[in-house]
Order: sequence, then C-alpha cells, then structure tokens
Amino acid sequence: MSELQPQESGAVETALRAALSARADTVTPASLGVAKIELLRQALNSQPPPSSTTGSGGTVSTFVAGAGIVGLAAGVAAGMVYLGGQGGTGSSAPEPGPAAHSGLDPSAGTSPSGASSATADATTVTPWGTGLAYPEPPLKRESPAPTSADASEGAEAPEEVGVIVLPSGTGTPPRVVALPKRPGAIAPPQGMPGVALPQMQTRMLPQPSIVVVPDPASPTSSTSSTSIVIALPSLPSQTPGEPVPTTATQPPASSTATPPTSTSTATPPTSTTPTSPTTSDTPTSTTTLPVPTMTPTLPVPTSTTTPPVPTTTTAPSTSTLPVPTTTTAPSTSTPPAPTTTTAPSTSTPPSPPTSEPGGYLCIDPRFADAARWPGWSMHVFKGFVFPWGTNQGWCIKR
Amino acid sequence: MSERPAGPETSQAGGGFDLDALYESTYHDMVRLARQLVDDVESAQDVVHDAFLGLHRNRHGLESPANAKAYLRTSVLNHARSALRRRRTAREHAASLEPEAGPGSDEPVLLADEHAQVLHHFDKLPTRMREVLVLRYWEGLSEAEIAATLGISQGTVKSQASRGLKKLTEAMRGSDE
Repeated sequence: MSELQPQESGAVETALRAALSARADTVTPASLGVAKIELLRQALNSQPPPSSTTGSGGTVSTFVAGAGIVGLAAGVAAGMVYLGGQGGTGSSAPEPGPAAHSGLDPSAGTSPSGASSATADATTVTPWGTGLAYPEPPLKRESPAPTSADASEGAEAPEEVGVIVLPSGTGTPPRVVALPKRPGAIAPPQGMPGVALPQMQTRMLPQPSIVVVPDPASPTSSTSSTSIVIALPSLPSQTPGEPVPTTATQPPASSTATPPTSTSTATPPTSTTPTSPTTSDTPTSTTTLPVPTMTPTLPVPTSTTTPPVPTTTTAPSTSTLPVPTTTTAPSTSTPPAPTTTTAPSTSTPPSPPTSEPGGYLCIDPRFADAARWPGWSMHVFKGFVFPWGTNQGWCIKR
Repeated sequence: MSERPAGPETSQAGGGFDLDALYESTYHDMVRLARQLVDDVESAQDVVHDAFLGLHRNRHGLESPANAKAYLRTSVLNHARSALRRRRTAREHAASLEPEAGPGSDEPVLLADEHAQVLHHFDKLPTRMREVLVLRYWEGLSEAEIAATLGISQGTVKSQASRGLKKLTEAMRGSDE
C-alpha cells in the first residue's frame, strides 16, 4: 500500500483530529471517579517497595498449637502483621487489605502472615530490612489464599496461634508477643518495634484458658522459667466490657532463654472415670460463675506425656503477677500491666485457700466439665485474678 | 484540540523525578489518551492508574528520569491494550451477556454527529492502527516518537497511519452512501 497522500487524507485527518479532541474533551474532572483519584494519590504518596526483602531484624517464628510448643490462642488464627526485630529495625503500617503482611515484597503477591505460613514447626520469616512496610496499591491488592503444610493431606491445617520473636542477638530470650484480643484489632501506632498486630480470622472459637500456677515448694519455682498464662478470646456470652487477657509476657533481657516445657505440667488425669469436683476447699461462693455443660473444646489427652494442651505455653518471665489484694498473697510482686496476664517466676504464687501446698493447673471454670475432667475442682485464689477475670478456677493439683 | 500542559519531562529531584508533579500535570491527559483506546472513562482511569502505579514501583529503575512521561505514555498504551484484550476475552466467554463494543454511554450526548460518526468507524480499526492514529493526530507526536513509544519501526508507523486513514475514509464513505 502506498503512503497516503496529504491531499487525499486531508479531510479525513481533519475530521479525525476534531473527533479525537471532542472525545478527549468529554473527559473532565467531573467525569472522573474521585475515589479512584484519591486512592491513586495515596498510593503514589507511599514509599515504593524496596527491592530486597531480606533484613537484619530478628527472626520471627510461628508455632501451631498442635505442635505442643507454644499455644497462645488455640482456635484462633492470628496472622502477624508485623513483628519488630531485636535491632529495632522497623515499624509497620497496617495494610488496608484483608491480608496480613509482613516481610515480603508486596509485588510478589504473597504474604508471610499467619494464615499462609502455618507449619507444624517453627517457620522463619524475615521482616523488612528497612523496617518499613509498604502498602500494595489498593486497587490491585489480592488476598492470598491460606496455605498450609497440612492442607495437602486433606486435613484442616493447624491454626497458627502465636508468634515468638527470636532475637537475632545472643543472650536474649525469645519474646512471646502475639495474642489476639478481639476481631478487628486496631493496629498499634507505627514505631513500636516488637508489637504484634494480630489479625483475627472470622473463626473465633471460644477456648478455655489455662493457667499453670507454679508450685512454691517446687525447686523450679525459683528459676526464671515459669508458665505463662494464655489468654483467649472472649466467650460469646461475655459482655464487651469484660476483661479479656490479651498478651503474654516479655521476659527481661537478663533472663535465660528457656524452652517451653510447661506442656508436661499440664497433664490431665488419665482416668476417664467421671469424678465429681470437690468444692469443699472453696471458701467463697463460686456460683457467680456459670459452668457450661458443653464439652470443652479443649482436647483432653489420654496420655500422661505431653498432652496437647493448645492453650498452654511457657516462656521465661519475671514477676508481673497481679498485685494481690489480700494478706495471704505475696506482696513482692510488681503491679500488672493492664492487659498482661502472666504467672510469676520469682514471686510467691498465690496460695489456694486449701491446705494443700503446691501449684495448680487451672482453667476457666466456665469450661469445666466434671464428667470429662475427673480430679478437677473449683478453687478460689484470694488476691489472684485469672485471665478470665475472676479469682476462681477449675483446677487440678500439679 | 484540548489543552494539554507541558509535561515535566525534565522535572527531577535528587536524581529522580517528581512523581507528584508528573501526576498533577499529566493525569488528565493520560486519561484522555487512554479514553481514545478503551471503551469508557472508567476503564481509561483504571488504565492510567495502573500505569502510574507501575511507574511508582519502578521509578528507581528508570534510566533517565526525564523520560518519565514517555515511559508513562507507553505504559498507558500497554495497559490499554491489555484491558482491551481482557475485555475481548471476557466477551468471547459471555457474548450473549455483554453488549457489543461501542462508544461510551455519554458520548452520543456529548459529541456532535459528525464526530460520533468518525469515532464509530475509528473504534473499529485494529488496536495498533488506532494507537498510531491517536498518537499522531491527537498527541501530535512525530513518526519517530510514535515508533519509540510503541516500539515499532518508523516504517510501520507510516504504513499503519496510511492504512488507518484509508480504512477510515472508506468506512466513512460507505456510511455516507
């Protein structure tokens, strides 16, 4: 085809120019989507993603309850948005999308959040090297489907329940930092290294909390290793204002890292014979706490060795025991943090009102089921407040 | 011809370029450019957004920040092409559900009859041909610039423009008869 001569195409060119200009003029600011413009403007104002996703921050390890290592929130999938490294390398900005994120380039379309990184053992995720988290362009963000090592087996994947920050430095114990508080938890402000931002999944199953009360007479009670109270989501019957423990403890830097060992202490009785709980050792009334008749969702192990108690964890800790209010309670404990529920390691644990010495393994009495928990009974600990908000627990002696 | 402000082709700051300035000065022009190639303003906006976001992600990878606008223009064309491809694929799978491709719903009201008639035939031209014609007769780019933008030779630009005009002429003549 020969080139179009100007004289042949002049009229068409003129008409085409005019038509294209007329169509362009139909695009006015009023015809544009303001919301889209604002989204684009926000995206452009954010920092571009870095080219490298490897940083020098601490190692974030995730655990599942079924592994029996750390059970921070059984029944709740807690996706980690960010875990600050030991070096204080960064802060994070919560992503507006549904998927939690931390540590991976958003352009990769994947997320190292809890839903996608749950494994039967620890999974290492390296956070941003620069300490900044950049939001994926909001127009294009897609939530990756959760993946699991167990998904390939057809079984439901073990739910990731907690996160332990393993510092990159030496001599510093791991920190248990993640516990979901409530659905849609508000992300903490930026610049808070080491703060976990759990993203709650829609599956919010109530699970009993377990508190291992250390035995004061035990030689191990004087060590830095102690059990950690695990707080779990509020029951459906709970009122919004009811206190729900949400955090575990952060051990001091001088403490010696101690691997979690408390799962062996949470050994339920092996006998399946129903035993009525004894209440003779409860000096105060326990009728204020409803004891549901439902079967506890907590698995009752039949073996005496390392039963899978998903809501029990252990971490080195100093004393942050709530200040007792009675004279029978130790007075050397430090005041508790508002949302911290920990068991002491160096302070004297609260003594049960009975004459029995030693520690107790207690659960929320609302989850108690005498038919399934032989040997357990209601105990009242003066001056001690359990994560479920009372001083009464359904306990068994350790 | 709509007024188009001069793009900040030389807007640089610290070895990079001012993306905000580029956005402020070129956004509407880019939407207008995309609108010439896709069906409606909303799709054009999406195309431009994708282009800006791509530039935002790759801003540090630009060899020359002065070419940011050219990069953006090429990106808009590429995204528009992809959008048309996706739309064509979708229509192939749902031909009975989607109406035939045509001008946006606002165009019959906003455009004069002669313009609407030209654009009706213009929109039926092949994508590459329309791109060349838009860059030449609306953007006012030279053949060399068009070739660089589209990644084709200048000879291809010439032939595409010539064939496009010829097809358009024939179509308009046929519609007049």
